Amino acid sequence: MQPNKATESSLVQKGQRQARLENERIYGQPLPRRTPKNWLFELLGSWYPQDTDDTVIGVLDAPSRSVWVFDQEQQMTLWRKGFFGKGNLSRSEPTWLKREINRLQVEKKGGKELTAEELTAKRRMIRKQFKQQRAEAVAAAEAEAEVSFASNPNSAPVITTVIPSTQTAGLNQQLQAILSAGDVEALPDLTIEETPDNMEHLQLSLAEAFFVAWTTGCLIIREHDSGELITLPDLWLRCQKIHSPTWPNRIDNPFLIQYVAYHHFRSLGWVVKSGIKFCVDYLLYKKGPVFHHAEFAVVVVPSYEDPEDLQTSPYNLPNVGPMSWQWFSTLNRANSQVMKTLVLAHITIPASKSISSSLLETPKVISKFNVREIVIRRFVAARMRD
Amino acid sequence: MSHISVATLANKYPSNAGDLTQVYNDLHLAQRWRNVIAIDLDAAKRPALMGVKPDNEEHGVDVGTIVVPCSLSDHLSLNWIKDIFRAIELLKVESTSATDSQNEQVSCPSEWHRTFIYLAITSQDSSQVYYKLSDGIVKPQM
Repeated sequence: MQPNKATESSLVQKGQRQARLENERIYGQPLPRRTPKNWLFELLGSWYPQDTDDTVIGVLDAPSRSVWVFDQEQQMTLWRKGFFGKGNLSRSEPTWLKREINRLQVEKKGGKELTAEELTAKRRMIRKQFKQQRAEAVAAAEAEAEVSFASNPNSAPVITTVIPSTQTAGLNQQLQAILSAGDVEALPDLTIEETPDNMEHLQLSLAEAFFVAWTTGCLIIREHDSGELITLPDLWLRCQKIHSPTWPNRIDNPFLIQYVAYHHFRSLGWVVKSGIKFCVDYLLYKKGPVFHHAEFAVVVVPSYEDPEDLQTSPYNLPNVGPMSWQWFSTLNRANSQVMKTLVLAHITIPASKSISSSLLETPKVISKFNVREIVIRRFVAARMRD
Repeated sequence: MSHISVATLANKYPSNAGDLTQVYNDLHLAQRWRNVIAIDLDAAKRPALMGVKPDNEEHGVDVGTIVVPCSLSDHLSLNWIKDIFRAIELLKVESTSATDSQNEQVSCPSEWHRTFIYLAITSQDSSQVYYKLSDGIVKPQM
């Protein structure tokens, strides 16, 4: 038995290493780029990397406060080079068309290929069944303990029911068994009439879109209705106006606060994604969602340098002012359970009196903000001594 | 109240248009709910959606579930939630069939859940979370 287990273990490790190398290859470039074409590059020819043009066209959608990318190749460019955006019909990478084609092929004949969403659904189904079995085992063990105690109160209750744990249940093996069950048959191709149109687009938040457009120059944004090009200075003003049509030129515009935090962490090399599923503002990934779960969950905490700005603010920004221990405890508990460290990003909003209106009209105003991170970890004296 | 298209309701409530469209697309195309229709919670001045969940088939009869979209930046209150449930009590939907924006036949379910709704909270990058809000205290499921 021992040699077979060792062989199986080394094969698994080899497979994991190959998968990791493949991910490094596909997602290795941290940002999209555009190599300028000039005489120097032509002269040096093949000594330099090939010209790269990761130009992406997006459209600004004001009602959803986002920028949409429709072209599939361009969607993958933004996703694979920096994990920008999210498929509006998918959990992360836009896979709706692939899932839909798979579903239609399955309707014609059985299919085995699973996308990330379907794999997660199967994993959750197995976990749900396991939790049900565990709850039933706990209830049976309690009933057995009651009976044992009633019959013999002077001795310890005898319990024979075994309560399964995640290790003994072999959840991963069950998933593998479902995935590899049956013979793998080739799926029938769909005809042109049967192939659905791609209803999905890649959706970027305004902060993401501005970051890509400004720092890399790769994102060209147009109006949704007219197709008219939006220049970078116009985009900066539009983003603020979308968030606040009546008060666009204020130093505490919600877009400015979001963008300062986003720009700060992206500039430090983190991959920044929305944290709505974990009740926080942002999640920070070292390399990206495909490599590892996010380690840090960021909550943006704005604070005003000038209290008068707070009193006159029309925005009611979240998390301004003293926060209760219940709030801290809830947020920390929720994120600790999913193995994330809570980070409070304190953003100091400069006094509006010190900022000229012309400075507000350019992204240079973000240099006037200050960002300080504070890590919150629950300290349990009895457990954390070692 | 007869069929309203999502576009018509989005025009009536422009501040909720983005959320409404985003949640409709998610329910109809990604979550694969059936017969997703737009409904006007006029009493609460809010648009909403009603559809039939995919796992509803075991009940035999299509029972609609109401989903209320809102944005992450919206401020909610208990009064807001009370107004939603009051508007649902007053809701009357005609059992008719119509064609939706994808030219598919949809029909209103004759019954719908009145004691709970799903609150769909949207964010700018199209991430969505759904919370089940019940009217009153309910026992937690095992």
